Amino acid sequence: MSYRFTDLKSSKSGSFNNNKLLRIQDSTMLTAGLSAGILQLQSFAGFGMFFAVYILVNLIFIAWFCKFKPSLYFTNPVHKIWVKNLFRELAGFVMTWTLAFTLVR
Amino acid sequence: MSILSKSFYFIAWIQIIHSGVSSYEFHQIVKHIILENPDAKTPGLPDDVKLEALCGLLFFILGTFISQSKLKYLSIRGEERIIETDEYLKPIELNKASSTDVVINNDPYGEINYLPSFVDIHAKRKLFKEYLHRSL
Repeated sequence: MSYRFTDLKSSKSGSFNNNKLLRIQDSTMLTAGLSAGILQLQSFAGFGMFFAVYILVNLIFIAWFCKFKPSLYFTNPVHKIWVKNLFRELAGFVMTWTLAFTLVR
Repeated sequence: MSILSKSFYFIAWIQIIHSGVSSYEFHQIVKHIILENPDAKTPGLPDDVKLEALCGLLFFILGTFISQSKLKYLSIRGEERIIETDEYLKPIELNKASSTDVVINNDPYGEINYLPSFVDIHAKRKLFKEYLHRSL
């Protein structure tokens, strides 16, 4: 016998967790952009740094905050943690990267 | 935010600003060298400046994670107490998420249950009269 309401998720908890993840990713990727600008990285080196820091931050988040069980805290964790905020963070990173690059040059 | 995370942020910003200023000064010197001798081979950014910028970033990332506090709840009705948990995030499963509401005596459907149409106004008036009677 199957129940219709066995797989219900709390939207309140979901938005709380998403906001926390977003705040961490925003602040760290903006600072990573500053560092990339100070280091005068160009082209693929800068984007490589973006992906390295993005992966590092997400792995720390999964290990520390989710205790290696992101499915307990996120619906579709691969999408929510890795994909959903990727271009938002990339835009922020490029913004501070170019700002620091031109200020330092 | 704990003193530890504040100190991490402080060290991070000092390192990032200092490496930025150092990088700026280095590039000013390089510009002068090129102006004096256009054929001169320009050196790369010194390793200590690179290391300082990366260390600043690492300290900032650590500070960001440390500054996040574990979840705490204050019970709303009944005995007032702070309930500390070992979690940074809220569980997504509805049965677990609602169990927190049970622990803190929160009514997640209070927006509906406390609408005037749903409130037993006679019981409330009786309670209020009793309260007035006691306080007078």
